[in-house]
Amino acid sequence: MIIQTPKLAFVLERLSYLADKEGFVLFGPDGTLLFSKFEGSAPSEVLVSIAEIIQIANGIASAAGASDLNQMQVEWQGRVLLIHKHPDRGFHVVLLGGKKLNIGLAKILIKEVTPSLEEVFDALKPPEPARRTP
Amino acid sequence: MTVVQDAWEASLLAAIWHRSRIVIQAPLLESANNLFSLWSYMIPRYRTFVLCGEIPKTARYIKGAKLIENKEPSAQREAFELSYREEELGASPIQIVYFDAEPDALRDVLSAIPQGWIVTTSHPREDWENDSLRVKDVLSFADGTFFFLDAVQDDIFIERRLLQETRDNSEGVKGFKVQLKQSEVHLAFQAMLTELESASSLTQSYVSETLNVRERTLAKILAIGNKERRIDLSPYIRNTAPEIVDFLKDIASIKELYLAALFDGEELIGYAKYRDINFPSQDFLRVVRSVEAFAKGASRTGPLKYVEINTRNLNIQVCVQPIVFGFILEAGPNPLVVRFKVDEALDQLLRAAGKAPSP
Repeated sequence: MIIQTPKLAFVLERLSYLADKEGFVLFGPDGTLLFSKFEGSAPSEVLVSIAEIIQIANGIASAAGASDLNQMQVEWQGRVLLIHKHPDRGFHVVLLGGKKLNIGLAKILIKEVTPSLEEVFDALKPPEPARRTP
Repeated sequence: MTVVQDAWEASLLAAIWHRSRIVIQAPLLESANNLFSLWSYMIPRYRTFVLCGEIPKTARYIKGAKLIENKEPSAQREAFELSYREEELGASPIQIVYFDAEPDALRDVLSAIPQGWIVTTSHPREDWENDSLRVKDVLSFADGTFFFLDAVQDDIFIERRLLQETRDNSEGVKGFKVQLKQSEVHLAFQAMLTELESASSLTQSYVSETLNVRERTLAKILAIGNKERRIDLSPYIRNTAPEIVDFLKDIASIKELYLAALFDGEELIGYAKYRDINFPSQDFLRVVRSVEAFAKGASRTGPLKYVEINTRNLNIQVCVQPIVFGFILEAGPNPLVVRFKVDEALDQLLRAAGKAPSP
């Protein structure tokens, strides 16, 4: 599902300055896929695996007595995965890059653009079930 | 309490805990029995008391105690030997206490039991000391003397620390803390024994983490277990490689560090907790596995090198090289320091784990 909002366009434009960036994904607090944009195509297993990584990272962070996950960084020899969690809304912004991705810059940028995605998250998140009135 | 008092009290505790043979002698038997009562809180309560001789009323009602009323030396000896042998079959270790022992009882009855007995007597040393009952150490009080027939332990660090920690406590609390430590050591040995039924060996790091014990306590567990069950588990506990110990000591300089764990495959080969935190080291491997599952679906990832999870108050770092290094740090700008330390020590650590150093 692709919903273009001015904020999303702004974020994608900001991230486009990163060299060797391969994908941008937005997950809900529970790991529901909300939005994805890849250079080329992303196999669905990749998206499922990222959702699993988010779930495990959140579980481990809370098991350690730590507060919620803020950011996660995974480095393979040829790839980099960055996950940033919105501190209040709980949605996850994910960046996938090749080995030339500047991790330091990407970490700063992802943190910087996350607040701009609140509006996008509100537009994409599934509606809450209606409350029954007494 | 003075430092000197700490030391002799710790020696006494070590002697009792390590099942030394002890003769408490005083000109008046009552004084010898009183000395026993005064220090009897040092006898682990999980041991079964086997009481014999002129048992005073105060001792007669010790919970679970076996009383040997028979006055016949051969029957007493047989009863002691039987109880002692049952330890090897899994029965609770025994603590023999023989009140008002005559020199004959020491020579004919107790000399057959190699450890774990205390005697009270009014007979002077020269009446009962012989080649098989030779005094190794002496501790004298105003109203009586402890004669140790086995050498007192050299390393009494744990006993000393325990008594220092309880020096301002009431008798009841002191007894509770001593018993707590003794029970912990006893139960830890049982746990290790059970673990070894399904594993050929355990790493020191694994034992240290799972039983929450440090190196000295582990040594105590093995020593006491060996005394009580006559099973030496030390060949089955693999020590941490010195290079890994050095690395864990070196990174202690990172003041934000809570915990470090090193894995060779699934096996925990190094573990150190620098500050209080509740984090099972297996969670580092869970992180690695979850990320490896991603790599199977994605292309061009290559081998995993590094994972970092930042939370508001903690940083969890995992370096995969191919030993897995897991670290928990206080949140802050420290991840690079840890990675640098790992890189710096990597070749030596790989050699210690039997892996080829990086080219």
